[in-house]
Amino acid sequence: MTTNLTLAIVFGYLFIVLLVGVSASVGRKNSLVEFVAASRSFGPVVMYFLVGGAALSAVAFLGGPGWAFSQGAASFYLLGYVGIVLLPWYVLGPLAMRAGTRYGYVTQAQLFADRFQSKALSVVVAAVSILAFVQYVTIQMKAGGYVFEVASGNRIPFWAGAMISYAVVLLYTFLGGVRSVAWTNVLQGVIMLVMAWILGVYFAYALYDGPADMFRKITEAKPTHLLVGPGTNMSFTTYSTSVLVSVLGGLMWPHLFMKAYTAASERSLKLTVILYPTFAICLVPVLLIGFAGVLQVSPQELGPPDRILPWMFTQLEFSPLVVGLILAAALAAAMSTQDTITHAAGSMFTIDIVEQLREKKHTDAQATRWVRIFVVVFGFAAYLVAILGGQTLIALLLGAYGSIVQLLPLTLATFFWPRANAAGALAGFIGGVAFNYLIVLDVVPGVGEIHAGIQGLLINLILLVGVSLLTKPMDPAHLDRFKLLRGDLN
Amino acid sequence: MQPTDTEPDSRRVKSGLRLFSPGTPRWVKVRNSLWAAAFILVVLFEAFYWLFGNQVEPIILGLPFGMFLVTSGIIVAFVLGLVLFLQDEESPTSNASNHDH
Repeated sequence: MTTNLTLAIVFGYLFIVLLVGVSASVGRKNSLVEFVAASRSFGPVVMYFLVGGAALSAVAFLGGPGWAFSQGAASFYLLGYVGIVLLPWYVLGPLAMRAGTRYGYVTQAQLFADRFQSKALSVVVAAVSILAFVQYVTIQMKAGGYVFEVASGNRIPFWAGAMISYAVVLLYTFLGGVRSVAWTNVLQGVIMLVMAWILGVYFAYALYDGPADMFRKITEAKPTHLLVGPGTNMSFTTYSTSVLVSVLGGLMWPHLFMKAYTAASERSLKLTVILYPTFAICLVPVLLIGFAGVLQVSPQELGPPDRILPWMFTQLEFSPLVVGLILAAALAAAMSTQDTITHAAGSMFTIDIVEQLREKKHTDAQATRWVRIFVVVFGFAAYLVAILGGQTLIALLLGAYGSIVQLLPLTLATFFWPRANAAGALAGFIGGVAFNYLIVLDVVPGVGEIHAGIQGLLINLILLVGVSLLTKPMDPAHLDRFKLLRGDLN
Repeated sequence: MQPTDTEPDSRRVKSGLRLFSPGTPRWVKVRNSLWAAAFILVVLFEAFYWLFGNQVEPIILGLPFGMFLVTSGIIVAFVLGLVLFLQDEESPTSNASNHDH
């Protein structure tokens, strides 16, 4: 059976990832700052793959072709936002990093909790983030499930496939924390980049006379597939507000934001931001894969559009070796996001919720142990959601984005608006998140086709500013601690 | 060290935004604002690319025109970023005190 070799490659790949992940953890100190922030030691290369792998997930690698296939030009939105999503970090990253080094933060909510002197804010931010994480990691797990279904010719059922890859992720994340996450991301990132380019170009030339010919044929058959706006799959307003909410919210994802605490220097952080577009541009060939499928299979025959990538190469009689490598790349995309999210969720639950609510603080070693435990607990919970729930990949994520983008006003106020206080921060954040979900859940009607997250953001800003101005400012001496971070940001 | 002459009295917290530290030279403010504006323009371009080319033809480098525009936006962001980074490498701290006039 050809699938046996394919399956062997996928398992071989998993074994290598596990090996890299576990060996990264060997001989490291057992402390919170090591487990959560790798003792603030990462240089630009590791940062590049750590952040790139986290940002470019299975949503892009499997969801991207799915969208190109089923939604057409609407998929350009992925390319548009992923390519520029790190830009705000050029300014915010070094500020967060300085704050982390000076005051000992390893999570994003610690920064907010300290700036606004509010345990409640820490708990609320962490709770909302973890909820969004569940949605996000569920998507990645589904990708893992698909990969094994295809690799085994449906002999490994979806639930088992999702479990196998996630078990590997949990194991190395449990042992080595962010250091294991980072080093496995280097391996996964390289595989992802190489396979994306090879595949995208290959399909365009194997099935057509190159990409230009492919796009002309698509237009002949489906004249509006490569356009947005009225009469297509996405309206102008939805397209633009989706890009905006993703760019504004992308960096606010706590698992990305807290990577500022792992960087060895501001230079390495800035270099990551600058080089990141070279990572993100591999979405171009990824989308080509999906477009190549448009004329090959009907949406009815395919089923969920996210299966387009696996479907394509099973139809093309590739050697099982190549199929194995492709599947490994898809798995790499999923796992390199799963690990960092699971790690962030465990860290946030312990540090930003449990430790905040406890009268008697844990010791550093105890807290590290609790982070590990919650990594596994979160993993198990998310797995159950993945197995029991069902929706297509990107729609799920957009709901989560709407609540995560609500962290932006908090972040900006932390560094740039001294007058903001705890009451304003809490009111704004809770108001924004609530309004976003009320629209998403159809409880209140939103305004036109504007993304629910953007509408929530507006409520958030009004409440943050209004409530802050109506209540007492914070102690100027306390605010000075944050002014001092601004030294060379002129 | 920041001058302390502006906040001797009851230290009221002002209600305005504080985008720059006190004493930042004007030219640094202008330069950084221009950088911010340039990147914001790139973001807006990516969000509203359809204003400039919601069409398939001409196909450039194998990409339909719309997709080519979105891809170009990323490349522009990369080049701008590189220039900004090199500028920062030249003067690693553009701290006010380093640029006394």
